[in-house]
Amino acid sequence: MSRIEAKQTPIEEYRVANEPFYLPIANEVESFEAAYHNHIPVLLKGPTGCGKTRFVEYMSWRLGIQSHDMALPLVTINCHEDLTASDLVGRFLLSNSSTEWVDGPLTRAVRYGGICYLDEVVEARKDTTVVIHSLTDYRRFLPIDKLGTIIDAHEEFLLVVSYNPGYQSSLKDLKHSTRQRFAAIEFGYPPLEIEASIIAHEAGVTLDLADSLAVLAAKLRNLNTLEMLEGPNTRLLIYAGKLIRHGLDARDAIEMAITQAITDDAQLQGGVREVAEAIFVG
Amino acid sequence: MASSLEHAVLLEQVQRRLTIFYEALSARSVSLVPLSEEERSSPPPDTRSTVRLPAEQESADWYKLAVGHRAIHYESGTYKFKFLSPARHFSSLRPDSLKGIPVYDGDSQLDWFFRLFANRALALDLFNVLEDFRIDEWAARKYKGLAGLCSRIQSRELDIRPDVSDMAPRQALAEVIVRLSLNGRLLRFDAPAFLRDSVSIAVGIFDSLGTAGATVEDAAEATIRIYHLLVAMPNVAVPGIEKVPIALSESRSHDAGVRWPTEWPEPDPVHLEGDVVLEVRFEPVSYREQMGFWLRNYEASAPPELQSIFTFRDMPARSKILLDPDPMAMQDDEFEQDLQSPPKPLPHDHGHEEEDREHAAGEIHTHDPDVFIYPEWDYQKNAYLKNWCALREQSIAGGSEDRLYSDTLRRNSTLIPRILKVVESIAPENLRKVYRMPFGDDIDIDACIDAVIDLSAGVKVSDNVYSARERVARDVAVAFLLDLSASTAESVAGSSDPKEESRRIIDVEKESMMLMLAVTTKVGDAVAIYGFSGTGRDDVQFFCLKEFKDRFSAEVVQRIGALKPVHTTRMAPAIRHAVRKLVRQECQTKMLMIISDGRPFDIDYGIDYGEEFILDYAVQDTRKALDEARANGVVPFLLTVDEEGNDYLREMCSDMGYEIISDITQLPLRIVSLYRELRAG
Repeated sequence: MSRIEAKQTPIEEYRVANEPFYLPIANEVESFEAAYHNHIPVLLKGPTGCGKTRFVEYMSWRLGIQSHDMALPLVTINCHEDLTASDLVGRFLLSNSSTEWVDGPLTRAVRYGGICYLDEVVEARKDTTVVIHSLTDYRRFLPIDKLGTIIDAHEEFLLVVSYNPGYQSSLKDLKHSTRQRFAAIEFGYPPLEIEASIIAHEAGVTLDLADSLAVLAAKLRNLNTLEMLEGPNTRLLIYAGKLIRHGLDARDAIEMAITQAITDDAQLQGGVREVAEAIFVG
Repeated sequence: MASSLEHAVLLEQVQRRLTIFYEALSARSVSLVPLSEEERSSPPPDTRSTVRLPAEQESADWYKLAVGHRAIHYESGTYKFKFLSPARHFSSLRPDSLKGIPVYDGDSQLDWFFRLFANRALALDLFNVLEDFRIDEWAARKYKGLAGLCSRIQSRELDIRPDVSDMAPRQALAEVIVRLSLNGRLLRFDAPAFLRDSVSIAVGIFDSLGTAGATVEDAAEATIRIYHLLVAMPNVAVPGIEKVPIALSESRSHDAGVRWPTEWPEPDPVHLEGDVVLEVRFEPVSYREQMGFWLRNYEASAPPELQSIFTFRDMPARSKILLDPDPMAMQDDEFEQDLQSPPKPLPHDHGHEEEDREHAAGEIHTHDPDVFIYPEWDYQKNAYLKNWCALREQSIAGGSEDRLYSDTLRRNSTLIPRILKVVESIAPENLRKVYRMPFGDDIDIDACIDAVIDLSAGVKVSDNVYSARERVARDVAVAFLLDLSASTAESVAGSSDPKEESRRIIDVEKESMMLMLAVTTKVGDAVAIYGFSGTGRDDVQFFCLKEFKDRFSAEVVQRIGALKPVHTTRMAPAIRHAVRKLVRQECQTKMLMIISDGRPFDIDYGIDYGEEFILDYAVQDTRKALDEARANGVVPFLLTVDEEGNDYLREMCSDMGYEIISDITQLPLRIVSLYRELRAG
């Protein structure tokens, strides 16, 4: 039996191969470009599944195409509470009887250039996030204390972090000393027409169906404050669209990708189904 | 009779689902309230936060359409009418300025619009019908799932419309309008020839109004036109006139060859004798709301605050005008804010102004520092009754039963190991493993490897190589609220063990508390134990057996041991009082466990409404108190030994936790494990 080797790329050399699909909502593309050209780190805030990661991919492609005919390298690091500074910067590893220094992903991005994207940055411990401080001001260097060296950031290096203000508890907020190193772009759910186009494109469904899904989402998001229900994000709508395109009945697809995905409360599910059945023929 | 409907659906069965449905569509909160039997014939109008619907209907679809229709008014902009905005499908007959139209503070622009007409009631009723039609068409286009049930229900409505053929021309035209609004185009009837033109123009107007993109301004333009057609009709039968067949399928362009009115406001017509008596009536359609009902009194010199409740405009400033003849009740909409958060019950102010304060009939006032005054929720009025219950905090003199604790432990000797197991499973949840600590009870392998590597690499070595268990800052306060009503004196029935025969429910409650004290002390949570009972709203008794600040002592045990069954179960004020105490605890998790043996009941609970309402009243007040608890960040849980509890508990506890314990002897163990579950959250 032949084995297909999975493609492997060193993390700092990963580039988006094709133009990612991204529909601008306001002037976020221009804002990001301006920040990039001025070496201003960017904070993307907004609910999960509203397109932050896609936006970063798109920008890495767009900025790269402008100067090199290919996307900028994009190093993505998913932050979590056990992420240590060594995980970002690098560590010594044992090699035979000696030790060998290995750069962490952040260090590689700093050396190699490109966008380093720290996703859900507040999840990281605060003592971890301070390692980015010298990178995110006028100094633009990364000190590596274990090597006793300082690495100047590549001309094309940009640090981007994301965070979801509503989702994490107030206990987990960004420190001001960290936060005020970034210019921020706020992301919300896209307006109905744009969201419908996104669903139609990503799920490969008709604009009519995509529009109904977007309407459903807009209605359910009305419940955010009234019922403390976090309405479905664009990603879930795309899932629903994909399931329908695959041949699943709209009712079953919505039940699976939306109703069950957003709440466990039977009463709320009942209400969500009422809304779905009103929009899709019940 | 509604109750004779086959496969009838009760509002309560669909209430929660449809509340969410309404909220999703309109982005507004709402409470769906069942109409009482007396209200059915002339339902009170909906208000901005309350929708009243029959308690029972033949299908859930009917409810869905009725609720959807109301919500879509908000979605499709009925209340965002702009006087000067052009319509999409009609040329504007409205004046292009407000010249000559009276304008008052707090008016909505719909108010301005209706002031154009000499017969405002007619214009308003007509606007309702036309706007309802636009809403239904809009809904059918946007909500494909509503389209089917809308047309089904419309055709059922058409089946029960009054017969047109015997009506006077104006009334006949009005009925035709309602039928057109239900898409009833199949009607044919005989009428005087002059009606034919008006009918076909009206059909043309409906054609335009039903088109995609029609706005509330289109409904307003349609109102002007059809109003003009209506008032041109004689409102008494014309005897001897020849009749011709008229069909609603014929339509005519609405602006061709008709001289529409141009003078605004409309000059007052010459009143003919009988005009008022023979007013045109638009027979209502069941699923649509009677928005304009109160606007009939528009001319009455009611204060603007009162008017605005029933009209479309937003309330200007909140002002305290009591609308109900009953001085205690607040009309729900006016005080929407007040209803969202109950009247501040809390501590009684003994300032000088208070001394002289006149209390409205029924309100309770006191200067006793041990007495706390609480409001009560009147579900019939849909409002809080202010200062309605007096709750007295009482302490219990400890009896001599200080052996209770050891007795309990002995009696439960078989139980103890199991409970301890549960307790032990609580404890670790308090702790979390942390890594890379300078000291701890285990070695952190990852940190050690790093240290060894750093050592070989010759760089600074961290000595943080241990893992430890750290106490998580997640503290818990729990209050227990024991029902001490007379029924707790009943013996524990159905137990197979003859030794149990002599034990009463209250004894089991006491034991449970003993065990809980043992557990919570071990875990280190803050615990308070209260009992409640009473003999009416001016005498709610609240026993403090253990306050949060009290240490677990022999005295506490004696107090619990001395508990005796008292009287009734007015649960809500006791819940409010316990919540008040819990809220003061600076803990992250606050829980209220209520242990009861039956439904809430008190001798004067909702007595004004007669006996059949007493039970519901108590349930609704309790439910409200539980909602308040949750709003205050307290997690309530109700544990009852009442096996018939299912019917009211579902209502009372809606989506919060409750449990019925069929075997009371299991209560102690169940409390402990429940406590653990709740605590784990």
